[in-house]
Amino acid sequence: MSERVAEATPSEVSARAMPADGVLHVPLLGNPNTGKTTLFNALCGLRHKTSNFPGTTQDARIGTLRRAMTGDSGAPEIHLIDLPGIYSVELDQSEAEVCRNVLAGRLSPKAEPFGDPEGVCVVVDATNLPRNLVLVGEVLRRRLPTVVALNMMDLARQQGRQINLRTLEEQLGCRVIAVSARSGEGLEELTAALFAATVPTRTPPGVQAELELWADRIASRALGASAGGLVAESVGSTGTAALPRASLTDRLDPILVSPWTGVPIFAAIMVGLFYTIFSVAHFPMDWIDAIFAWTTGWIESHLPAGILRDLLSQGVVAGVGATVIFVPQICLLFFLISLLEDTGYLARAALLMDRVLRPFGLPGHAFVPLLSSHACALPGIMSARVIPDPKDRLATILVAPFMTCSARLPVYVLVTSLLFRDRPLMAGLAFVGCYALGAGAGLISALIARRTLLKGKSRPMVLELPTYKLPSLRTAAITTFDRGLVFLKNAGTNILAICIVLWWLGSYPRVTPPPEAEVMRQQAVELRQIGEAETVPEKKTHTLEQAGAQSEAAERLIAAHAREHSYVGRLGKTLEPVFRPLGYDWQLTIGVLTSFAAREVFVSTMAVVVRAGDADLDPGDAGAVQSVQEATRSDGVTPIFTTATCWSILVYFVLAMQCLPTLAVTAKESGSAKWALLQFVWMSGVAYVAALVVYQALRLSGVA
Amino acid sequence: MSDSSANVVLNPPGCVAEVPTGALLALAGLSPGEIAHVATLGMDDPADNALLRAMGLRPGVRVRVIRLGQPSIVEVLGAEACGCACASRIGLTKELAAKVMVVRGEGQGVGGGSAAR
Repeated sequence: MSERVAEATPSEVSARAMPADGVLHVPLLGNPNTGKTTLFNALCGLRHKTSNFPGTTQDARIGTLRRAMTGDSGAPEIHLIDLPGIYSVELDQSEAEVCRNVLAGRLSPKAEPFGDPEGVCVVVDATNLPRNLVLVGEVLRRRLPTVVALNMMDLARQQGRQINLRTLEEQLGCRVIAVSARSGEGLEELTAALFAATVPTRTPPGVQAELELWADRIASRALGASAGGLVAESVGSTGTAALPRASLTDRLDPILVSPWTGVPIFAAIMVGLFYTIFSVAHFPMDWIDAIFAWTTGWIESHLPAGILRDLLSQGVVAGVGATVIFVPQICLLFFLISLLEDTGYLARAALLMDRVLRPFGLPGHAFVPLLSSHACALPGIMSARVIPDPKDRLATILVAPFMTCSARLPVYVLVTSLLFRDRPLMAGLAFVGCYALGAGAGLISALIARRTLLKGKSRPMVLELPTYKLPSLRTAAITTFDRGLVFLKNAGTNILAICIVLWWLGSYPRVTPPPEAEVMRQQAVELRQIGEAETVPEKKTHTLEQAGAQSEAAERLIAAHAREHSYVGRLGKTLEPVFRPLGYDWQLTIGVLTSFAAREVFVSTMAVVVRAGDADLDPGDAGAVQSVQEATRSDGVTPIFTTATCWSILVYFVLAMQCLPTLAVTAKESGSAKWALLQFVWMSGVAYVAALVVYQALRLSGVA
Repeated sequence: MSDSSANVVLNPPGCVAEVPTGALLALAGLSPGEIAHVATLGMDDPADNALLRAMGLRPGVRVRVIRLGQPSIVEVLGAEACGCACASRIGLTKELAAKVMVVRGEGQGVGGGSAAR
């Protein structure tokens, strides 16, 4: 097969010279909605790796294709590089720039030294030849070995279209293979053609307007209508085939994009989406929780007490658990979004929501990521990939964590129940206020970002509305697998490292337990002995319960003491002056600091710090809430949670960036740690100022 | 839905996009279901023109109006009236639809339209 190379003229042979690593690099290019991703998945399946093109937010997927025939000379493998879907390589857009750079050998997915690609595969939608052929022409102009994959041939045939492949090959000067990515038709032939690709024998015109005419002309020839004659007749027969989807799509589209009917439908679909995620994801999340709790228990009972045991159980296992717990939500979200995107509905939703988000400098596409962030910012940020413009995408990633995620809820519940005991309506209103504050701060931040750091013209809202179709489960499954794996590999490792560091900061240096705790422990031991010696069953149970409570109280005291003297505790005391204007004492400061691992940790930290209630403080438990309410500062008199402090802490938790896993994902998805740093500084700064204003204003107006 | 107007031959043999002549009016000034020939794109930024062109909405092609207002939807029927029908749907804002100038399809009030709106 590789002797085809010899047919090219000497100057062109270099374009197909055998690469040093024996692998042919073949970019896969095509218009959006041509089934390019489906084709990539059909060709490579799970034999691919996903990363970002260096320095971009652009996905880089590289799949491996193996030569079918053995004993053949030539490269044994093709690395198929999935490029973003574009309408034209020459557009002034970052996706087009990525494509240009890859075609010119200036950019490679892994930043490896990389010359001109050894081949190009252009995916063409057989039902929309003229527009697709413009892109083919732009590639052919580059004189790289090219193969055209004519996708959706089955659909074209259904629409009564006959495409003459021979004519098309002759006119384009390169191989044209009819494929159907969905049914698998023509894939082997395409693979063989890619291994044997040659430099095109024709060169299309260089001027864009001429290229468009060239594409029109070739399309009409290939479709069987000659340049002269027969025109009117063919219109009569196949011209009507131009509008086969008229009925259903024509009726659906105006309904789905109209504000009156489209918004309720969109709302219903979103409610369904998130209801499914919440109702389904909690099963695997519970299992994961149980598995990691069991593992922790096993380690603690089987390993001797010491640093290694604590590192494994509290650092490593807890860290892995903290990572894996996100996977069900991420996978489900991506599975459902992929299905929704595949049906063609998501494009309509973006068109509909554009009007809502455009005033904030965001495109309609940003709606789903922002909405997902209300469950958890991690999948929300990862789903920002649906946004075509990189600046829009970055702005969305930056502000997504402002949305109230489920990890904030325990804190909201605790603080609102402190503020409004026995007044559920007011507590409910405060809750709604928190959601609105978060979303408002996020949207305004997006506007600020788009006007300053991410300045630049917004893309005009023009988008193609693909044909409605049944979604492909295979595509959805592969996308889900991909995203889950990317999360575990890239973000997961960072989250694990962060958890270990936080564990260390919270547990070291080790201190000897306080004397009163020793006394309490001793009392517990004595009580247990008395209880066991007791013969009256009721008394025995009662005394043993007392012993248990005493022992638990001792452990809590030890935990609180250890935390106070750990690095985090010391940091809390050091940073107290910073948080004092917000109304926080050192104990609350520790609570704020420890919630960096995850916000919900605040509640359990407060339980330990205030030495009250259960270690797993249940914010719905009135007794526990009361003990938090009665907790005092070190002076033993001033309450920690005054009304002003409660409002301040609520506002702080709504706005502050207190989630290191989110920062890890932001760094990964934006391609640079500097964006994560900016996100942290901006959100925490906004939170600090807002909490300061709230606290000082309440105090000045006489609210303690 | 594919009414008879879809079959009107708007283009001479040759199957190549030709900028139509006739009275110009804004795409936003048509009514749903109408078919027209695109004359100019008229975006403020040449990059936007290039994007629309690349998406298939370019001078010379026929479009069918699906929905007007915010947002608008048009079906791009391609350049040819020679059997190479290549419908794709494009959603765009009302403001953009107001900038695209078209000539009404044959027999549909040519000369009556104005570029207003």
